[in-house]
Amino acid sequence: MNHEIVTYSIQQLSKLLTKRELSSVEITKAYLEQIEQRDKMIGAYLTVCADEAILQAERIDKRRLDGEELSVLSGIAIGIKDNICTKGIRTTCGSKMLENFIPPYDAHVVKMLNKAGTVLLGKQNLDEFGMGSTTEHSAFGCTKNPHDISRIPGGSSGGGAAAVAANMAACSIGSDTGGSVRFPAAMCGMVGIKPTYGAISRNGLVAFASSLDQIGVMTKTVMDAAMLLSVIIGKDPADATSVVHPDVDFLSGLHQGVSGMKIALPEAYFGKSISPAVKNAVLDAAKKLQQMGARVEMVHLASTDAALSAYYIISSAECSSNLARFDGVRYGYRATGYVDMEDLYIKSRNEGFGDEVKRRVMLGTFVLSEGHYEAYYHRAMQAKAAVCREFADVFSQYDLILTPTAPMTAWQFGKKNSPTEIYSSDLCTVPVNLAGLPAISLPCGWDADGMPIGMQLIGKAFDEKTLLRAGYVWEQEGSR
Amino acid sequence: MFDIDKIAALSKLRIEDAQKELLTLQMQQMVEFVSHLDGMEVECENTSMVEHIREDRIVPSMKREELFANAPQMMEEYIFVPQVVGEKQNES
Repeated sequence: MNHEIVTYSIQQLSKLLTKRELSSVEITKAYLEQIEQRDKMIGAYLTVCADEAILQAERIDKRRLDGEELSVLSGIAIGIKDNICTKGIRTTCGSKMLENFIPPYDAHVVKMLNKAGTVLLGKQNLDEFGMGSTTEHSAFGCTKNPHDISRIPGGSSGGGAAAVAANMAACSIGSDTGGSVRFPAAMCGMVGIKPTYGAISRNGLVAFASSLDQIGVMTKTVMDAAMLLSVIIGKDPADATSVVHPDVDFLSGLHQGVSGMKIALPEAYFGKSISPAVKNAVLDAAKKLQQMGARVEMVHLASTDAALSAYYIISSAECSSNLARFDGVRYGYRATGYVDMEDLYIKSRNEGFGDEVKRRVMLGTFVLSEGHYEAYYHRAMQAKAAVCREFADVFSQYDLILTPTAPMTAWQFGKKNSPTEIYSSDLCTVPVNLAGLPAISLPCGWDADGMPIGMQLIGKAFDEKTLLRAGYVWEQEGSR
Repeated sequence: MFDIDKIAALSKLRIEDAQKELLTLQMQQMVEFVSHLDGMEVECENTSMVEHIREDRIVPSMKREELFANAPQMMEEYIFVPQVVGEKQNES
């Protein structure tokens, strides 16, 4: 029974819970057992909250037995990326800098999930502070792809994607600055959605690049993603960039299909950097969507290379500023053996940060430094404006844009060594963050090595509904 | 040439000699990687984003002892740091 429970979608689990055919304690114990059996191999979790999870599940079961009307997510066992603050539960950001940091408060998204009655199984591995695409840059070891443990799970929310793929959580909450939810979802064959910038409060999400960071979810199905988003989207006074979402009734239009929808295929996303297997799978999906009633057309989007440059300039600049707070003084790692204040800062940062974080901080410092600001940061902001304008032009005529999520499938550990080689794999995802748009990654086939391929649908700002609607019909009819 | 010592100092980092060569090379590759910005000289325009400032109202804040629980070193109810004013004494 247990090995079956963990394969269910949130929707299935929710139905069984409502009918009282299954209890939250049973679900929680099934996942904990799965984690016990599989996570030594996969390494998706940095902290497992077994006792607290069972206590919370018991509380939910009791409330249900008492006849209380509960949310559809009540009793569902979830995992959360370890850069999202959980009160009283260690939140490391995958960094030695925060190895012993225990947040005194819950992130807004955690509060919303607690209110809905979800059960927290544990905190999931990531590239340090979200900086990476492979989950190799965690100070606490890498996560492995459940489809082939010799391969990367994607990143930076690699722990979350791997946990859902290995049935070690019903869903995972991640964060997406340049593809960190969509990319690992694609590498692990899961659904991953990053909503519009401003849709979900980032209060309590440890900041990496504030103009790009957004919280997202990784699930087994599109319906599950819709159910989760309905609960965590909303304005929060503690995040000034969060807004009132105009339409959060994601479930009502889900079954309406793609008939009459206009979908753009930007040719730049199907160029020579895209592997043939990925290209063919996504073009095949485009054909199927057309057969399902959508109008699919090739369009021109010029700015992909510039978007990649602009993304790494802007995100690194903001990272260098955001990570200045880690100085060994108020919280986080403090080195010993320092001679004065300056030495305390430098030693603590040197010993607390990993190599990739140091490189990004230095790149950010460089592009903001005297003599370089105009050539890099200012021009990157111009490129960002150009990317926004290009997307706006396409969306004046189309409802959705279809691209691959990643240029390739999950590669073997050690195959890509230079930082810039790995940055290139973000080609398809980063323009979406620059423009603040919502996008979903959906499984759309397998390569010759049996690794999953992901396709990305990009939507208009605050039009998650159309994304989910197209994703749902794709999952029901197209992906078979 | 990427001046690694200067940028490291500005970043409050210190690069060990053994790492310097590789890191300089990697940083040069990164700078080259972010240099593909030609043809993008458009005017940055004001977007439709409106800044929302919340009302200036006093709300309950977190308890001192909860906040200070994560401080690496305390002296009574203060965070302990090396001396920053006056004549320098050796610390730690």
